[in-house]
Amino acid sequence: MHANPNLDPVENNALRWAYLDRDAFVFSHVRELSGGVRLIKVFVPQMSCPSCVSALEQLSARLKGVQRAEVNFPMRQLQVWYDPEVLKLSALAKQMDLMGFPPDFQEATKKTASIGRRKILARLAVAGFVFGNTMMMAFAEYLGGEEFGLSGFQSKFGWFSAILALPVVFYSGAGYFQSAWSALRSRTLNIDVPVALGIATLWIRSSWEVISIGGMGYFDSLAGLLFFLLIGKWYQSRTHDDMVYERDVLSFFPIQVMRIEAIGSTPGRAVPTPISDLQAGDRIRIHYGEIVPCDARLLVGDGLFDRSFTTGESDPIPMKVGGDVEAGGRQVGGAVELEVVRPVEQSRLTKMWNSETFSPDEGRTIQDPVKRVARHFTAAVLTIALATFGYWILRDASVAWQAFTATLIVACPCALALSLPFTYGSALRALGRSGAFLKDALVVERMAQASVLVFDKTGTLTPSRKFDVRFEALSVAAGDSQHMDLIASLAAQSAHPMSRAIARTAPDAQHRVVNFEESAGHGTRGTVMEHLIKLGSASWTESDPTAAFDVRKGQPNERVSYVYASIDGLPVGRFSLVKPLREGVGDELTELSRNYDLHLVSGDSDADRSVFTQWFQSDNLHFNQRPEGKVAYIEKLQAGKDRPVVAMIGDGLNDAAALRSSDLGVAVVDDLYAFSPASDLILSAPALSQWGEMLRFARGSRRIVWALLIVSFLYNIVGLTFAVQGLLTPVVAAILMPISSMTVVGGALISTRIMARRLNAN
Amino acid sequence: MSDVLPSFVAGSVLMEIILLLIVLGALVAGAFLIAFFWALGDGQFDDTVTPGFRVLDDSSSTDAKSEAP
Repeated sequence: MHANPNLDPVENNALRWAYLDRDAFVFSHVRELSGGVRLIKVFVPQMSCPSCVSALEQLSARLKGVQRAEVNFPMRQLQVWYDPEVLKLSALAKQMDLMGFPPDFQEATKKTASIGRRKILARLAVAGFVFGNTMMMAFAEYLGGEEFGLSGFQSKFGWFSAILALPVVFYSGAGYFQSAWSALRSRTLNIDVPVALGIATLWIRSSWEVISIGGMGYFDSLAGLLFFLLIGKWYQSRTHDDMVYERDVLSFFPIQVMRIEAIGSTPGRAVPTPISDLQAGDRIRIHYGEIVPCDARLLVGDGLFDRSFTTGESDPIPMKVGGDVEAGGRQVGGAVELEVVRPVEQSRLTKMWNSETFSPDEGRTIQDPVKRVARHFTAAVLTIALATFGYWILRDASVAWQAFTATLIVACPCALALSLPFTYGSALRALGRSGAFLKDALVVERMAQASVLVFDKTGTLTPSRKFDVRFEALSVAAGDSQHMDLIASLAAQSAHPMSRAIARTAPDAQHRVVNFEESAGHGTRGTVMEHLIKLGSASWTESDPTAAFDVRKGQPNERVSYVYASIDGLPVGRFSLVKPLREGVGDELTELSRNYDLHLVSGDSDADRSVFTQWFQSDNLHFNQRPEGKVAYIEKLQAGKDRPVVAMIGDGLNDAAALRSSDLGVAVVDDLYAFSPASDLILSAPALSQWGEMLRFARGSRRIVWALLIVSFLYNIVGLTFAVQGLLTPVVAAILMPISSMTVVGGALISTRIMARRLNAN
Repeated sequence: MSDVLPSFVAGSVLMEIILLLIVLGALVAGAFLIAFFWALGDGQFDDTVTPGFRVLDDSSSTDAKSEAP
């Protein structure tokens, strides 16, 4: 096969990994260990199975200088201990690339989820340890201690429990006190306020009992309470470690480009240069498929820049020598040379990203429901406790203090604080199995509340690089398969997206092409099997666009592009190319339009407007939108009546700001581990046709949370009836608290699972 | 029961032994708690999936790995 050298992917370039050996990179990404050993973390999204793990870990046997290689599969991360005297990082990267695991060094350093989780586990372990030991001592008392001769031990047991409980309160419970304190300082109430209040009261009351009356207190309930609460925290913290949600524009750009060194006035050899080192006036070479990292001017070659990711325009923009190229365009023609006009950090895209519109929103005004409940709850509990105190102080002062604290203890919203992490935690996992990867469990809440859905078009509703191709033969010259092979062989030589789509219709056609020629904006020509083949615009191929083609029957309203073909100067027909919607998306939009307020904001021209009017009201269709325009539109929707919860569903950099300012940012991706703008939820593209079902599932999960809140309130009422009468004995507390927790946890897990069965069945 | 056992047993003297048992029990459990903390700090709970895969790998290079620092 005669391959077009322009299309040779840069992967084969030995210099691709050169930047890894630079001191600046080593300094920021590598950890120096004792004995001259270095440790580097690598994100390897391609690993997908147990044998990948063993292949990567055997790097230590395969590659000299690797002392140890260890994989963390859930995080898709590889840690390599190596000897810098023997092994260069570029050699490691090259070897991994050869093995089919291209390494990503940029994202690995951002992933440090494990530290927070270790802390939760440590606190959980302490609470569990104390829970078991205090429970053991308290057990005799549950059964009516005096009969067992306990009376002599009560005080000793009490003291022992009190000592054991210290680490529970001050270590395991520290997170709740901190959170409650910071909430109070900012004059709000969160769920941790009543929890912290409950913990503190339990501890003070129990300690007082031990010290002054030689009792045993409620230390077992205290430890148990924290034990269950921390299990909930731990459960909620188990999210999708392999996903990267916080990428910025720099992780979209390549790390280095080929800069052409100038020797005097003549261009010299190409040197790999980190993009941050580029200066205005530098000359760079961009190959097929690469992204231009900075604003530049085209010097050599035909530019064809796919800007669908940065602006949302679906068609690649052809560019002549001397034209200005904005950062972020992906070259889809042959190799070109550019002159840097502005360095990366001053380029338009980078500046826009760093501007205020793009910086993360301070506080999203959507409140999590538990927070709202917590406010009323705390107020109610305090009222009841004070009323109880007031009632008893007039009658029996000795009971008053007891009843007051018992009320606070019983009302501690343990079950309340458990219903949300368990329900949303398991909802997060169920959604993950269907292709929606949530950043954290609270995203479920926003999914449930969303009422306005704003879609992007290019790359979201339509796949960005996919055409539906059909050949329409000219009636007079019936196209046979031989013709098709010749045309496809020619098309395979071109980098133009349409040519590539045509080439894919006959993938086996690999005839030799000579005299290949490409004219940007017009078409290609070449000699295949001694026939002159032309492919391109009507004028290029001397075709008559009004001739009688075998016109395809398709959906009305579709926007069709035509590519004409001629053989030996004779027009034979044309290819019709349609950008289809993603599979199933049309039906899904019909479904969604019944229950949601749908909007479309696209960076593309309005040529497709008529296609979308069947799902969107025409006032809600907005084309030619810049990223700033999308943000303004989202904000306008948010300012609407009743402050609707606005979800933005997009894919590219041009949606990044809108994703951030919306209440629920959904990034639609074809490849889960490729670049996606910062978002709350990463949605695998095929799952877009299930979006309605997922939203329904989220609403169901929300109903479960509310149902469980009611259940836990019922338990609280039972407990309160004991408490206000001053009858809350340790055994009542010890039974009531775990039972209510278990009910809530069990209810959350079981009902979410039942509901998820329907979601995952599709 | 009390008519079989000597009178001092029925009181609290023999039951005092339970205090010793509780302290000993707590110490043993505490030792396990410390062991857990060590394992946690060592990173053994950071990844609970991959070690399961390693068992399936029957190549010999795992021996070389365990000798590395």
